[in-house]
This record gives sequence, structure tokens and C-alpha cells, in this order.
Amino acid sequence: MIISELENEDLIRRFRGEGLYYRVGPFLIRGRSQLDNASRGLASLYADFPVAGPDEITDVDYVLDKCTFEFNRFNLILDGRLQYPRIFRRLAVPFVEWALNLSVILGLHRFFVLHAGVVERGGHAAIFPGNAGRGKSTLTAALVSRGWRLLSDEAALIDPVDGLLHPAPRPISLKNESVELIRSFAPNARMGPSWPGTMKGIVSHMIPTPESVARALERAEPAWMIFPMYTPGARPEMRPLSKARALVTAGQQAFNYNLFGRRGFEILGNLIDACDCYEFVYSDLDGAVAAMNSLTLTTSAAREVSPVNAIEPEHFR
Amino acid sequence: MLISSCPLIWRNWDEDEHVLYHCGTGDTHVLNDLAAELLALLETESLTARELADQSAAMFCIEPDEIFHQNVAAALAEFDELGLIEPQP
Repeated sequence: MIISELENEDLIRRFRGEGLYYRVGPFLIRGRSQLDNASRGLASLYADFPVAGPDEITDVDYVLDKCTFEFNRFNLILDGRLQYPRIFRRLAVPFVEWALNLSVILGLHRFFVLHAGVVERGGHAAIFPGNAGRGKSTLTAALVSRGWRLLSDEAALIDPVDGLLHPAPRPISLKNESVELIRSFAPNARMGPSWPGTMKGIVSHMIPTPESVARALERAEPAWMIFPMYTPGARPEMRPLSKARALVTAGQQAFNYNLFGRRGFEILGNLIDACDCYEFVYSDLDGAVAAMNSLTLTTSAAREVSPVNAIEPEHFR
Repeated sequence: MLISSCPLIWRNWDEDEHVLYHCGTGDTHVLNDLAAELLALLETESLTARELADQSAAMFCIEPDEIFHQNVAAALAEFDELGLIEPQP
């Protein structure tokens, strides 16, 4: 059963009671909420995700709890800890999404985690590490709207044993100008409401494609490590990056690098071994998608599949 | 000069930069060819600064002039600051 198949009454009963249990890739999430509008908002973002039962180990547990004497505010409790106190009720949905980011990033160390968007095509994954503002979520959303599979817009989950990437295809969080950019670039993409007045400005979520959700347990091989640099007005340009530089720059985006210690260095080194590495300057999304599609035809991952492709697109210098 | 007592873990590709993980500090460093060669020599044996300069110059097939000695001294000072080597009296 998926969340959209739950009757409204059943959905609210679960959120208000023992919790709505749902699965996002390798994670089992338990959500409880006294705010029915927020419950319905979350259910619409996660409409295609499978409902789970309470008999398995929960990875993430959040509670939206009303504030006593403050009708328009709530507390968000994450994994038993008061994470966000006295938040305005109208912002409940974006705050739950941030809470889930936190929990994945800070708490789930069975993966080596990079702050990165990840998309896949033909079994090969492109990883976009970068701080906020570099354009990784926008690029991820644009590619997903053009047929790439979403693994994540926030965290590359690297299996420490075999180096494969685990999907956790949650809604893609778009901010400010990116919201309208993606709405006009992909008018058929399913978008959640816009939330103005958050600590990050306007936020809206692009809902993952049903295919991305249905394949959420299908891991992918890393093939490209690409550092996006959204630069207004710039032509798309894919600049090869040395593996040494790529390793160090990616390491700065690894949330649990220090926790893994020497093993983290080895995991990251193996990841870089498996990837062609680039810096990617882009502005318009058509050009960016074309450059990424060209990449799949010309680099080593593509040659394993199709040795006859030898075009040299203009984006490569 | 002695190498740090904590292991140094290398990653090398066919590039003129090398990556090093220092288990003692948990820091990761990018090194150029000269810096990598100096540390690699120190990993095999303890050497004076002059011996290091002479041996690394030989590896690069150059004559160790004054500038080269200065570069080696600067690299060693930085290694010391980063905890990668342990200078001996």
C-alpha cells in the first residue's frame, strides 16, 4: 500500500495515534502529528511512498506537537529530542523536511554521507556535491524532470562495504528563484505548495517521480563526480577536475568523514576512483541537461555500455 | 627528520598532485610532486634536510641549487607544522 491509497480519516488517525510509518529507500520513518493540515501536506508530498508497519526498527521518528497556549505554533520533536521549538504552524511541512535532512545527515552512520544531489541514468550515477547555493538541487530537479532517476537532492548515501549509492528519493527542496525556474522549465512536474517566510526564504518541493520512488531500493554505481557552479548568464561548461582535487573538495562535503576516519578516506578514494570528475558551470537548464546527457555518451561509464559513441560535444574543453 | 609515527595513507592517480591522509590528525592533504617525494623518502628512512634535498633532486634529475634547498626547507617547515614529521635534534 502507498500513502495516497490511505483514506483521509485513516491517515489522520495514524498521524494522531501511533504514527504513520513509511519507507524512503533504506529508511523507515515514523511521523506523528496533531496538526491535520500538516499531516495532509506531508501525505501529498509522499503520496507514492510505501506505507510500512510498526513492527520494524524505525530510523527516524518525528512528532509535531501543539504548543500549550500558543495556537499558531508547534514544537517539532526529532528522535525524542526537541529539535525546533515554537515554529509557526503554517511552516510545519518544510520544517519536517529539514528535520528529516538532519536525521539522515547527522544520525545514520551506516552510510558514508556526502552533502550532494544524486541522479542516475543507465545504472550510472552522477553525484553533485556542494554547499547551499551552488545549484545542486536545481540541477537535480531539472535532470529528474527530463528522465534521470532521483536518488537524492541532499545526501549521497555511500555503502561503506561496496561503494554503491543507496537511493533516498525524498521531495526536492527548491528555494527562492529556483522554484519558478523549475516550474517554468518543467510545467508537468508535480510541485507542492510554496512556503514563503521560512529561514531560507520561499521553499517549495518537487515531488519525486513515481519511477524514482518505485526503484528506491535499487542501488546505483557511481560514475561521475560533478561540482556544480550555478553562474547566471554563463554557458554550460564541463571542466575536467583532477581526482586529487575532487577527493579533497568532496571530503569537505562529507558529513561523517571524521567519524569514519581512515576508512572514510578509503571509501572516498574508491568513490573517486570510480568517477570521472568535473566542475560544471551552468545557468540555463536546457543547456545544463544537454551537457549532462552528452556526458553519458562520452565518458568512461558510457563506454562500458556503448563503445561506439565518440562524439565530442561543445561543452567539453 | 623522522616521519610521523602515525601512518600516512596515500592515494595517487596519474596526476601531478597526490592525496595523503594522516591517521594521527585525521587531516587530508593535497601535495605536489616534490612534497610527495620528500615524505615518501622519509617514510623509508630518517634523513637530514640536506640528504633529503640531495636525494629528491636526484629523483627529479636536477642539480639542487639554492632555490631548491629553500623549497625543501619550506616544505619541511610546513610538514612539521602539520604534524607529518618529527624533527630530531
